[in-house]
Amino acid sequence: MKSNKTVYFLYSLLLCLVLTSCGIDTMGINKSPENVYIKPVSKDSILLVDRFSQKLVSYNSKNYTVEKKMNIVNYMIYEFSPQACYMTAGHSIDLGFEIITINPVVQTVYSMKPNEGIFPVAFYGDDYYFIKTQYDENGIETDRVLVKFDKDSNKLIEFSNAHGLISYGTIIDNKLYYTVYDESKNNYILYSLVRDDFNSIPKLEKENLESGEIYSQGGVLYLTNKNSIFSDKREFKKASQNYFIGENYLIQYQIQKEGNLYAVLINTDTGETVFTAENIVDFNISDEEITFYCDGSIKKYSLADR
Amino acid sequence: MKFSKQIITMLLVVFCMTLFITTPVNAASQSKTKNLPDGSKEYGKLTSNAWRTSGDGEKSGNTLQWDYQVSAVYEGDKTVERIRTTWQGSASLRYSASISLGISDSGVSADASSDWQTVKTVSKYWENDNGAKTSSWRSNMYVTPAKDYRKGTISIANTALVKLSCDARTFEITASV
Repeated sequence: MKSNKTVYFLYSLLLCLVLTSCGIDTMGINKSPENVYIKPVSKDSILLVDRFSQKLVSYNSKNYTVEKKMNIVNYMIYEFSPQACYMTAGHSIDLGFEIITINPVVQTVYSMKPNEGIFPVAFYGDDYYFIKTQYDENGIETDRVLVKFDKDSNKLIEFSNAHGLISYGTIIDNKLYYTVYDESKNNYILYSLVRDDFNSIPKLEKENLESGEIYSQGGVLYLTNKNSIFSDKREFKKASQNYFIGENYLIQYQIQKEGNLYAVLINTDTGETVFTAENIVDFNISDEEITFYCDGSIKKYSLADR
Repeated sequence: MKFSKQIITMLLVVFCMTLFITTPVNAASQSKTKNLPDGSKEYGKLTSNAWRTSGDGEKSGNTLQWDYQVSAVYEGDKTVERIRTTWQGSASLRYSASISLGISDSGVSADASSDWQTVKTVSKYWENDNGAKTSSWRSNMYVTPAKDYRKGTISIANTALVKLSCDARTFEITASV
């Protein structure tokens, strides 16, 4: 009788262990991208990128609400700007990085190896440049190199002489400018290279930059410090996120005094704020207008006749 | 002399007990920490803190109010490019009742239905990009009218996010209370 009880107890224990193991949360690395990337919730929904929180969202364009958000912690979207075809996505701990596009749902364009990451740097027309990173078994970064994504061959081509902590970049004609973080001095170095010469020797342009973000507009290079974005002729206050659009617009994501997130459209010719959108989620740009998708509204700024 | 020492000790004990009894334990909090980038803590650690007064709020007229505080804290020797705290409140409401985070543009209403609905506020943000290692916010959230709030459903979720200069990834951790 006693041995029966023991056998019953052991079976119960085994059953509990099996059931418990079935319920283990597989968040992150074991989730396939199909489970990670959300889809539009309804026929009135579109897939957007909440550029501030770096998450995909399903946005209802009839009632102007975020219905669903990609909710896996540390699974982030890294974007160029709304005008780009591509962005990258990956888990900050478990990795699984890839280049993706939204059309109208997420499609994987290129998958990295399990120990690699990929992050946007700059694009020009159909040419897209990224940094490719490598990590050791503890998730510590061991290498970083500038690459171009070759769409035709579906390959990443490395710039053999562009290594180091490459952080930000921008393109003016055939030159790719990029900044490298110097951890020992806690500042940035600006280099340039010929963007389609993969053996190009980077040219040192400037040292001891306070901040790494760089931009360009109308062939003019903009550098940054902690507070400003500046060229030889113009200066703008730096915001949390900054997007130079076309020849004379700058869109900034600004946190206001009371914690509200605004998108502010600035005419870079005059420095004037010409449009503001509260509780911004995402925006896109066509030849005719800029559409701001906000939590609570959709606002449009016409580019016609301007 | 010995007698007076005993009296002083007794008075101190009584004073401490009085403090313990009269100080209400009326706060709920959660603190969640993430080693960066993983168990090795090579980059340090990131903590998300969420705190609010507990229970079903302090009644003021037709509203229920809760004080809250949220923060993001980075501990480590790497340079912080930006650190951000993002918070959102929620409660179960009905009959067009509303919830607000106590700051402008954060109020959201339930629909007119008699069914209980989980209503979430718009997300709010605070960020430091000047090398600081913390970012925090304190205010009070409220629900109105009090009669259309379902007891025990108030919550606030806070996500701490950090971007370090030495790494291209952003890291985050969420606490909720």
